[in-house]
Amino acid sequence: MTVGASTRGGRVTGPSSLVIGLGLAVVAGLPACEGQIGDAGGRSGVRLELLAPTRTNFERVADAMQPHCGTLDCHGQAGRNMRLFGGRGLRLAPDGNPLDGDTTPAEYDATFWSVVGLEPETLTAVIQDQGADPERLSLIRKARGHERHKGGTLMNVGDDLDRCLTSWLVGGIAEAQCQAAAMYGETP
Amino acid sequence: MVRPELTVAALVLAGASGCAPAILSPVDPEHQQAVEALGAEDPSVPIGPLHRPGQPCMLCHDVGDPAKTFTIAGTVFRDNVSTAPLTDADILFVDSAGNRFVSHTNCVGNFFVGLGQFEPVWPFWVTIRQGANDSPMGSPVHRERSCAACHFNPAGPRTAGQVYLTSDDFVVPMIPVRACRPDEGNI
Repeated sequence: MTVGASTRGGRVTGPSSLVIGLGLAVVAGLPACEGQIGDAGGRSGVRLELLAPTRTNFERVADAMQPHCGTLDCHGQAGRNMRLFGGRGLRLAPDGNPLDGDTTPAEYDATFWSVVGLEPETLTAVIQDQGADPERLSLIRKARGHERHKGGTLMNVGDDLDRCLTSWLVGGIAEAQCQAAAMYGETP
Repeated sequence: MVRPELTVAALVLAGASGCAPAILSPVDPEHQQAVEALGAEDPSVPIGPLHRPGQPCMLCHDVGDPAKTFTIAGTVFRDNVSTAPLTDADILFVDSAGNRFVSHTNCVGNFFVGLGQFEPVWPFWVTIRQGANDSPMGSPVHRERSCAACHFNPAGPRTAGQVYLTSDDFVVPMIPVRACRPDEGNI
C-alpha cells in the first residue's frame, strides 16, 4: 500500500478500507494539497474514489472556524476526531503555545486533513452533488445545531460562518463571509 | 420491551466480565479519576473560598455535586511565572446575548460565580481587570466552566498555562498583593 499526495483536482482515491489513511496522512504531515490514497499493487477488488474540497485558500475557512469551533475547550483538544489547530488554540508543534500567535502552514494542513477525514464518503457525495444538502455532513448539522452538539448552535443557515463553510464545499470560498466569521473571536 | 431473562443474562455477563460496577453504579469513573487526581486538601486551608487555587473548580462544584454550586469559577495569578495570586481583581464576563456580569478574585486569586448569579448564553468572553491593567482572553469560552480545565501548567501546545494578568516585567512589581483577612475563609 502507498499513501501519497497529489494536486490533481481534489480527488482522493483508494480502496474503501483505506479511508483511515486520511488520518494517517495527518500524522505523516503531508504537504498542502489534495491527497491521493492508492493501492500500488492494485490487488484490491473494490476501489472507492473520494473527493475533498480544495485545499487552496482553506486558510480562510480555518480562520473562520477557529474562534467558533477550535478553542481549547472544544475542538482545540487533541482528543477530538475533528481537531482544529491554530493560533489561540491547539498548537501542532511540540514547543508551541496558544499564545504564540498566527496559525502556521503546517497547522492549516493538519486542520484541513482533520476536517476532510471526518466523513470522507459523505463528503464525496456532497461534493458530487455540488454542495446540495450539506447537512448530510455532521460538520454542518452540528454547527447548525440540528444534531446534538455540546458546543450548541454555532451558525445559522445563511450567516457568515455557514456561507463560509458551505461555499468551501462547492469550491468557491466566500472570502468576505469567512473574514467576517473570523472576527468573531474578539472580545465584544 | 426488554425481556427479563435477557436483562438477567446481561447482568450476569457484565458481572463475569468485571464491568458490573460501571454498569450498575451511577459513578462516572472518568470524573472520579479526575477528582482523585486533584489530591488531598491542604490541611492548613479550610474547605471554602480559599481552597485549591489553580484547580478545576467545576469538577466538584457542578450542579448535583455536594459542594456549593458554581456556574463559572477559577483562579487568576498575577503573572505567568509565579504563583502569586491576583487579588481583588474584577473578572468581567460578557456573553453572546450581551449580558454582563462582574465577579471578583479573593486573596488567593479564586473567583466563583454562584448559581443564579449569572448563567451565560454561550459562548462568553472574559476580561481580567485590576486598576489600570486589563487583559482580555484571546478567545471565547464555548463550554468549559472551569478556567483550569484549559489553563494549567506547564504551558504547551494544549494550554496557555495558568490564567494571569500580565507578563510585563515592568508592570508585575506594581500589582498589589495582599494577605488574606481572617474572615475571608468563610463562605
